[in-house]
This record gives sequence, structure tokens and C-alpha cells, in this order.
Amino acid sequence: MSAPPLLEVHDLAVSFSTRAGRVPVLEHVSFTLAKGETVAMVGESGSGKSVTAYAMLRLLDRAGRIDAGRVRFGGADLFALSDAEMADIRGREAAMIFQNPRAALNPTRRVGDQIGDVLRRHGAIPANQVRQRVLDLLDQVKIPDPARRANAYAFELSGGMCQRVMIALALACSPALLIADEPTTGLDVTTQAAVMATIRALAKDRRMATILITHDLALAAEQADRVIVMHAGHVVEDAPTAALFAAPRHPYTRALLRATPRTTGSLADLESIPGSLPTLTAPDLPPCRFAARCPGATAVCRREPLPRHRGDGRLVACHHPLEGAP
Amino acid sequence: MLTLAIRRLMAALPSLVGVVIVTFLLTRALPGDPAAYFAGPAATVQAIEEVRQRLGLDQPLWVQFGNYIGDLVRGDFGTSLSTGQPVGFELATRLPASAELTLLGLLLAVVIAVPAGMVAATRPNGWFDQAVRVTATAGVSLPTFFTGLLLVYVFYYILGWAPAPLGRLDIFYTAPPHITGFYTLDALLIGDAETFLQALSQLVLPALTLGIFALAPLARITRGAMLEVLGSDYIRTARAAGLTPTRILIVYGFRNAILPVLTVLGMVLSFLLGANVLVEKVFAWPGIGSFAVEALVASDYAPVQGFVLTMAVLYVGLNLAIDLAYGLLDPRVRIES
Repeated sequence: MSAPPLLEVHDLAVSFSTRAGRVPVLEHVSFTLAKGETVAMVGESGSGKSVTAYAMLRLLDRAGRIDAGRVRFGGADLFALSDAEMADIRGREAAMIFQNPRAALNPTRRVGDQIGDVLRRHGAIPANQVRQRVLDLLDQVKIPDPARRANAYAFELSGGMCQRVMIALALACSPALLIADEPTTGLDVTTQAAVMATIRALAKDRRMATILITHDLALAAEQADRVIVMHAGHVVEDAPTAALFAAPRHPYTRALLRATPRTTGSLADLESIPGSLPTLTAPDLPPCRFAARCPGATAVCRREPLPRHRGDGRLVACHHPLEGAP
Repeated sequence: MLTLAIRRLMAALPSLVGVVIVTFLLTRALPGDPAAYFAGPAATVQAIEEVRQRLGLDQPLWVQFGNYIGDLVRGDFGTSLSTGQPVGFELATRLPASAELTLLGLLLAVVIAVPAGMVAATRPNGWFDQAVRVTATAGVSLPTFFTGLLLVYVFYYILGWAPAPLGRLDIFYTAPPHITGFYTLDALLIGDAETFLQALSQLVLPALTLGIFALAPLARITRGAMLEVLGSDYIRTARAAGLTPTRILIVYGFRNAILPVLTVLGMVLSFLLGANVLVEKVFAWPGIGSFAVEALVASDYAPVQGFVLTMAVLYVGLNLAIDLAYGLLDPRVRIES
């Protein structure tokens, strides 16, 4: 074994209380992240990608509850910390950026002041240098004319500018981990590319680990060292990017790839994934939550607990993993 | 900002004109004959007619209206028939009394209700939220005269902490010189601590009565606005950045919830200013509300017209101030205007 990973999520389980009772949303979510590594989390909407991230940083809203699991981050057991200790880590050691950046910024506070709030909170630098540092940060995320933009409000900036401000805000204290939750959703294509390039360059400079949450497989393929595929609150596959795209081993991964348009091949080759995400409130939820949508499902899938073994750097949570080409 | 103020002021002019016309017609349409009232119960028909002529009430309506407008332009609100004083003078002495009472009452309500609403919103339906709801509902459900009497009973009659509810100052004190018209402020301005304390002690119970009444709308709107804001994306950003709960609650939360609170604050203020007649009665407060009601009962036109006009001007001014405050507090409003 080499050095311990930066982040280690072990057997995480989260449930939400709803009108219909408690819904087990996440189950047995485990993965690790090394320093400087970029991992993409992919899956349909509602597959639990964001919930995983929020649970890790203890940002779930009141309805959500962590039922089991452990998160070790840089040597600390995050679930054992006090609220104040956890808040010390957020923004300083682990930061997050969100989709819909304009809504994610305080509408009545100048964006420069919001970045300054983070700097002052974590006491990174003396008060009289905050302003200069804010301008440096805005410059690093390639915002032209930082001195003027720092005085702007979110509604005065474009979506792409707002996301750059969010990135500057998240990176203000040089965190070791950045969680980017659909950072490019809602931005136009050229802006998407520019924002991703900015995140990537800064992550590389700072040897910062990144979790990229996205439903865009092309983006994942382009950016990530490793891809974690989630379905209905389970991690179904976790593999190095090239291996995963070359030969998916979980039927859901294969279905996702086949549902993604490519430059080679016609639109007629696209396949939709049959069915939809299972209702998690159902009392007879099978151990494999993909069983109802899976062409290769057997009685075993509906009865036996899923195997979750890691071998040669990848994990497949399936009784009947696929072999060979897609 | 200045253009906005001027534009809003211009827009308010038609409503002021409307108020002038409506109050004039309304007071004329009221039942009761002021001439008969002031001639006295034993007056002959001829005596009543003489009074009517003296008051100008025998003239056609449009002539009366013309006279009224002419007087208004000269700043003459007419003379109260029942007190014999010029209405302008009565308003000038009584409005500060009502305003001082209302403002302190509102201040008390804000100081309690806004923080309570903010904290209640952090744990909706928790014990604190429930407690705030029960207290506020009780406060608004009790009629103000009852709350007032209860306070007088407890703090004056039983405990003896408060002075007798007999107006703005104990009879052994003289009123401070008229600077703002607020006795407490004026006493402070001339450095008269004793009069200040006396005026304040007279003011506390009626102000508290109004404050208790105003708690509910303020606490409820603060809670509601905060709940909405606390669920928004930028609060999540602030939490993800590790900002402290207090800072999130105030700078990221309340700062964005302040507009609805301000709106309700303005409504409550204008409501209390003219509608606290009962409180003024209980505490023998020489305010504008009781003045107007007495005049109305006596079919005394001039004070009623003067009162309604004054209140209308105050409403317009208050709404203007709130609109301008919007612009100061929310940069988005500034851009739209």
C-alpha cells in the first residue's frame, strides 16, 4: 500500500424522510480518491450523485439522514467532527461548486465581498490583503477587469462569469478537494469548455483532487481519470476512464454508453434505457436496483445481496458482469 | 435615486387630489346636521339657520368645496367647532403624540419579532417556532384595549411600577419645548433627564400594548421570508464555504428576506398610527386617532377632513420612503428603476 487516499468513503447509507416514510436513498456507497485525482460521478438524474457529495460534507438538508458509513478525509473522520470543526473544513479543505451559478451566489452581496467572506472566515490572510487576494483569484479564473467585476452583483454577470466567480470562491483557500456538481449545466457549449478548462488547469496547478458530478458522459470521458457510475443510490461500476469506456462491465454502464450519441455512428444506433429508476419506497426493492431494467437479470439478482468486489482497479456491483466489448 | 424619488412623488399627487375630494364629499354625506349640533338642543329653527349661514353650510356644495380648497392652499385646515382651536394646531400637537407612541411600539415589536422570526425559521415547527407562533397569535388576538387594561392593572395597580395612565406627562411636569414634538426626544435634546424619564415611563405601557399587537404580523412575515431564503442555493453555497451560522443567518439570510419584512412594517406602522384610538383612550393619550373619532361623532367636518388628509399624506410619504429603502437594500430593485 502506498500513502492513504485523500478521501475514503466507506459503506455510506443515506435516507430521506418523506410523506411516504423513510426512503433509503444511498446504500453501500464506497470509493476512494487520491490526491490530485479527478473522478467523474455519472448517472441519471436522481441516481444519488449529488446526495453522495452533500452527505460527505454534511450538507444534507433536514430531511436527509446519514444512516451508516464513514468518510475519512485527510486523516479526519468527518462524521465524528463537531459542527464547528466540520464548518472549518468546508471551504478551506473541501469546497464545492454548483450548477446554476447565478442562483448559487448571494443576490444582494457584491461577488468580490462573497469571496472575501470565505477568505476572512478561514483566516487565510490578513484583513488588509483580502481585497488584493480577491482580485488575484478573479484574475486566475480568467475574469477580465477583476477590479470592476468584484464590485458587481451576480445578476449583473453572465452565467459563465458567475460560474467563474463560484470557482474563485471555492478555490479561495486552496482546498485539497473540489466537488463540482454539474458545473457546466445550463451554460452554453463554448462557455462549458472554457469553465472546464479553468477548473482543470487550476486543479492541476494545485494538485487538487476533483469530483466531477455530471450526467454528461462525454465530459466525464474527457476530464476524469476514473469514472464512478451510480444508479438508484448504488455505485454500480467504478473503473479507470479508458477501461470503462472501452469495455463496460455493468449492464447499466453499457446501456448508458449506448444511449449516448457519438460522432461515429448514426442517431439510429442510439438506444434508450428501458424503464425508469425504481421507486425507492417500494417494500420489495430487490438487492440489485437495476434488475427490473436489466436484460440479463436472473432470480439471483432479485434475491442475493450484490457482490461488491474490487479487482484490477475496478469495481462492478453485478451478479452477471459483462465480458468483452460493448 | 433622486429621479426615482421625484417620479414616485409625482405619481402620488393624483391620489392626494382624490383624497381631498373624497373626504370633502364623505363628510358632507355623513348623517347629522352640524348646524343643529352646535346651535344646541334648545335652539330655535332660526338660530340653527343663523349658525348654518355662519358656517357657510347654506352655500351650494361646489362653493363650499371651492372655499375648502382655497383655505387648504393657504394652509388653513379650518377650525374645530367643538374645541374652537384651529385644526392645523390640533394636528401639529396631537400627531407627534401618536407618532411617538406608534414608533416606540413598533420598535419594541421589531426588536422582538424579527429575531424571533429568524430563529424560528431555522427550525420550522420546532419548539421555539411553536412558542413564537402561540405568543404572536395571542398578542394579535387580544383586543388592544384589553391588553392595555391588563398591563395597567398589573404594572400600575398591582405592582405600582408604572405611573398612572394619564397621558404623556405627569401633571406636575411641564412639557419640554417643542423641537420634534416627541417629549422623550425633546427632553433629551435640552438635557432634561428627569423629564425624559418621566415621559418615557408614561410611554412604556401604551407602546408595549401596541408592540404586542404588532408582534404577530412581523414575526410571521420574517419567518416566512426567512424560510424561503434559507432554502435557496446561495445559502447552500455559504454553508459549503464553511461560513458561520450567524453570518449565514444574517448576511446571507436576513439581508435577502428584508424586503417583505419592510413592506409589512410599513403597513403595520400606517395602520397603528391612525387606528390606535382604543389605546389612546385607555391611556388618556392626546393622540390624533381619538381626536378624529371625537370630531366624527360631533359631525365636526374640519378636523375629520384635516385628519384624513394628514393620514393620506403620511401614507404616501411612508410608501415613498419604503420604495426608496427597497432600492437602498436590494441592488436588483435599483437596476429596474
